[in-house]
Amino acid sequence: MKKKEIMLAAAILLAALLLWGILTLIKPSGGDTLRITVNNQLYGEYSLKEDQTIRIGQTNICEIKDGAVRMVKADCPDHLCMKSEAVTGEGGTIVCLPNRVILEVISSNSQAPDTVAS
Amino acid sequence: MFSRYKKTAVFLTVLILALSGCQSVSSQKEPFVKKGFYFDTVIEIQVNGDRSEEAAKRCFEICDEIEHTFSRTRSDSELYRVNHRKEDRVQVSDDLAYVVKRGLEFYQMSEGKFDITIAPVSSLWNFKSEDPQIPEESAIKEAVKKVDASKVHVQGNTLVFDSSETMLDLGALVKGYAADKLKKCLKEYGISSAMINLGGNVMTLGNKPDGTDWSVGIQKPFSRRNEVITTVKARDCSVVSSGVYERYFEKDGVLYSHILDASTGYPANSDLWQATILSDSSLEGDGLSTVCMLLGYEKARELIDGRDGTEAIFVLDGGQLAEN
Repeated sequence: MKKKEIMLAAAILLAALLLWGILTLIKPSGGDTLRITVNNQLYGEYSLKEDQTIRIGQTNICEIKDGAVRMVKADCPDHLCMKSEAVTGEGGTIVCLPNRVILEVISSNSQAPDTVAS
Repeated sequence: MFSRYKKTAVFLTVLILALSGCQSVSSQKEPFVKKGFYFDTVIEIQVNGDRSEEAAKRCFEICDEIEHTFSRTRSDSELYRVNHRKEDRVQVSDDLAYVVKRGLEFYQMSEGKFDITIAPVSSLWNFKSEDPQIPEESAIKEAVKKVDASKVHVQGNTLVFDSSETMLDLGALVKGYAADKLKKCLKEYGISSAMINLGGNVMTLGNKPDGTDWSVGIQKPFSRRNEVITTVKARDCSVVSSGVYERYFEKDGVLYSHILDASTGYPANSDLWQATILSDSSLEGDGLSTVCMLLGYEKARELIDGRDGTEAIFVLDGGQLAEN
């Protein structure tokens, strides 16, 4: 019985370690995250640490470069989203209202306020 | 023997959950967060507690109703019906009558610079254009003649107009009015902790779920999005900023901001970059923040000093922070 108990303990611990490992991998690797939503539906989450260009459906393209996000292409008439300042790890959003695309940086900085009045 | 075995299993199961960061071990419920597109901007509502989802959904219905009442451009809105009236007297809803009444108060306290009949002027300025232009001086002079809030009167639920040319634009007050209504709605659902952000207009209800005050950052003018110049603690409080940096263009070294002075037809020529109002009512904050921008620092300070329960944070041109 004692041996079985130890075996069980070892198995459960291993399972826990595995689960923890998987969850850590799935979550964007620490730090700040870019969350893209289209028409209120989550489109994807990306780490700000990795430079990349993200095509958002047929309408918009955004870019992560040096920890900052900007909209680089949009087929909307006013292009306000492309003129918006880049969003960094301090958090914030870029919105393409006509295409209902929201680029939102979720800051990992716990000092950041709950929201910003602008 | 068996009971000891069970104990170990229970202990280890708890350990698994703890290690995997499972939410069920934490007693704090996740807030319900909902985003949407209203009032020509993005709105976000964060609601905590029981019935949070139900309450937030109702809030979005209210936003839809408010948009149906106050939109100047939607041909099915109540305001559209008022602006395209055939008679001098128009019966309106409580919502519309109230906001017009408050709008006329801001007209009084701003020396006529804040005017809900500014539509003819604002339609000349296009701050969203790729290549914004300064309108012709003659066109502005012509348009300013049609702007005069003293020609509008509220008698109960009846709006009385002295001129058929007068058109209302309540865009400067709608978000504030909406925030007040949403807060009231959340309270009716028994919610005691929530945060509303309507395109930069912030309203908080109670405290955060952990008992601490909500912290609201104030956008630093002409800086990156969400870079804050200061942060305020806001319990049950509206925080509304108005600033020249929100929408503007530059021509020959002159900055033309979207904050238009109804008495001249041109952007406010003030010594402020930003005015933030902390108040109970967000409609009040929405109106006052714009009025302050139009009046300039000294007069704005006097105005806020004379109002109990209202505070202001100013950013002077140049970027210096000043409180009233």
